[in-house]
Amino acid sequence: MMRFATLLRHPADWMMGHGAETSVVLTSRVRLARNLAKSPFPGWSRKKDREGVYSFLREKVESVPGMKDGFSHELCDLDPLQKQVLVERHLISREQAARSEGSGSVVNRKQTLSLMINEEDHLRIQAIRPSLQLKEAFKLAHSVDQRLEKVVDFAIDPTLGYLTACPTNLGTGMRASSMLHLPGLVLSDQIGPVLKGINKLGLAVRGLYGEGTESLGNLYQISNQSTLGESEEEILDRLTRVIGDVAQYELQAREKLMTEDSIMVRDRIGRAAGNLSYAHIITSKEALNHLSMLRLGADLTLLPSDLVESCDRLFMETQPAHLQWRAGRKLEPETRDVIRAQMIREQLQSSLSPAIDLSGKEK
Amino acid sequence: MKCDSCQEKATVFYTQVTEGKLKKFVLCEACAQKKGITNVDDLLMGSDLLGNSPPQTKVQDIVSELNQEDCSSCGFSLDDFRKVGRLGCPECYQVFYRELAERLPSMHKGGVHKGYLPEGVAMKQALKSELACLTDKLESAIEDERFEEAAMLRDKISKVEEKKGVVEL
Repeated sequence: MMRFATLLRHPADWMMGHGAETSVVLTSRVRLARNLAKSPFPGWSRKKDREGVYSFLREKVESVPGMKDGFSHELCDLDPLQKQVLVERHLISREQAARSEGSGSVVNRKQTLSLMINEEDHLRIQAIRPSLQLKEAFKLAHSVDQRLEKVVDFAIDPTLGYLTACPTNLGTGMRASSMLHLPGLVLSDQIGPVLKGINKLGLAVRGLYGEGTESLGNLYQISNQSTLGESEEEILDRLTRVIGDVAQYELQAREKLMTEDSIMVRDRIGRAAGNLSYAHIITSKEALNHLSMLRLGADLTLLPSDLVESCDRLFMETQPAHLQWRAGRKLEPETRDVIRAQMIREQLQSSLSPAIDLSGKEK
Repeated sequence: MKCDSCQEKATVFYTQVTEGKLKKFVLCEACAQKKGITNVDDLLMGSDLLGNSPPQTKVQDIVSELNQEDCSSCGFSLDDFRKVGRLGCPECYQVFYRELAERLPSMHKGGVHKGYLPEGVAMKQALKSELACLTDKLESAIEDERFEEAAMLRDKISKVEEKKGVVEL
């Protein structure tokens, strides 16, 4: 079985830059909610029932090809920092991080599949792919679903579809979402109307970590709201079309900014590069916002292109839990800000090569 | 006396006779208002004297709501559902269907699942709707005294039923 440290040492393939394909749409994620036909949902079951469901499902899930040598832990075996790291990686939800006995996380080695046992539903099958690949992500999750349905009796009503703890997930039980980087629409003040338009189409827009989180680093998640009354294909088609359109708007906005207001764009990118290269204290919010500008600079070829990958890596690694995990101990926010700044300076040194030495070290 | 709906002190007393059966319930002011009874006199007058039927259906709603039982499988109640917006177990979807049906249109594009179903479930569903369609045809054939067609339909139905039995095994 894969250890937590091993999981952390290997960034998932969907986290790393994939060139032009991921210049706007970073990742695509699909999750399917499934429940056992004869058990109360996790939020309404006794601990004993939950533990029974957990051990039953864990065995079935681990027997799915590709999951065997993955990561599999009951949440009570993980400390709060480890749980938070998994949340930052989007491998478990914030809701699941609050759970302990009888709730578990099973992740394959490539970190493309993450199965949550006893989160809000008995089982959530999540697949993650880089760039705009919602259908590929669905195929992956669907293949696991089809394997499991042979050995698990899922709760299904022919008219209502898959029965879920919350009726908002009823039917397909499918939530599909993409993470988009939209600095062009933000800088050109078009983000408001675009988000409103997306909402009008019955799709949801959220910040970096889902429901109720603010947008940081110009990162937005777009997902389907309705899960009943349309087939998976219809939902994915519509979502893919809308996200593709938004990505197109973003690229147009960037182009327009570069022809009409290039000095402003260069100024923002230059200041971000300056801050990141020389800051010695930086909060995760400030880091995300500057990294977003730096990534834009690299996407626009104003900065070396290898910075895209550095930015994507730093988006994740400068998050509070990742930072503390790397340091090997719990850190006060003030200390985190110092270590974060140092880490960013080191990572960017080769690409941005600062001319001024503020390290205070003897030459 | 406590309100049937929320355990507050009851001030509205209501008696209804349906199909010869006497049904009594008591509500507090707030619950009565919530259920659309602002003045019981209005309610009683409304349906009969003014020929307005809406109050009558409201009374039906109240009766069925007060008769709403907890889920026998998991003990979840309608109040629980209203409080948390989630259900207790898969069985709850049958038990609280009325309440649910009211909420679904604001959540989803439609009320009927059009997505993937595992083979067995999909087949069962297809046979069920085929059966319903054939039964309809059979009834109208008998009514119109088209007996030859009716006999054919009956054979078809028994074949589908046989298939359905195999699937259910």
